[in-house]
Amino acid sequence: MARARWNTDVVSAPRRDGDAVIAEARGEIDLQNSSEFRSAVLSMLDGGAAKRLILNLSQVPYMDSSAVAVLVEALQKLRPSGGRVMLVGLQPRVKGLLEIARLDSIFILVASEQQALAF
Amino acid sequence: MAEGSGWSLTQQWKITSDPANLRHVRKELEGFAKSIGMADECWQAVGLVVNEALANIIRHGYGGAVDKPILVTAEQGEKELRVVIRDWAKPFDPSAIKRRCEDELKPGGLGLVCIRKLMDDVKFESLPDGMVLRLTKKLA
Repeated sequence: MARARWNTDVVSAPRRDGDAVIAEARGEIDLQNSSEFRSAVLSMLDGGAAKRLILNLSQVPYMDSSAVAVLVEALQKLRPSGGRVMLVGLQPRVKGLLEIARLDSIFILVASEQQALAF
Repeated sequence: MAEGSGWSLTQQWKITSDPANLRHVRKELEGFAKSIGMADECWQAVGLVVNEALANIIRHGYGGAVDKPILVTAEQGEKELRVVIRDWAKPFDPSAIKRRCEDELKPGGLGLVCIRKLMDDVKFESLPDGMVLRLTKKLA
């Protein structure tokens, strides 16, 4: 999670707060940039220290299933150690996609980062 | 290239299988759907489904090759939008694909779930040299 090597525009450089790693994603995420999104998200979990991934998606108006697959993969990585993926500020289309896929209940959906940290 | 023919409008996109083309086609298609009076949730569904269908062709049909042809045609019907997606990839039998268990925590298979759930009618047709996917969505 070295900030000096953080070189993606899809996800901001992550920061730590206790057992949580927090970052903001931005822009539309589809097959064109989902591999970049995947690399960024999974690298935040490297080392195994984080128990909660808090991803602010309030600046993501659209994502497709390739991006949702990344979120599922992150959850798969965290679950064995009791970790969670918390998604902040979902826009309607993104929330709709999670509902269609019946995945809205496996993530913790919150309105703000403060709410996520207090969870 | 929208063409007027009575009450019907048709628009077509000839693209290569480069993921960089996906967003452009989706947005143009969404704009087309809006222009013929589709309700918001309907044009958004069509945009997502076409995105997913194209992504499946690119990833699975063409194995990630970025220079293969795909033809997308959108046509306004009286009360529906029809979208036809033609590719020249290796044909597959969609009925042979195991349906994703909705409570299953795995990353794959969401594209087909979206396609099946969001469209009013979905038809896959295998051709000797590829596939045709016919999607229909009511305007509202």
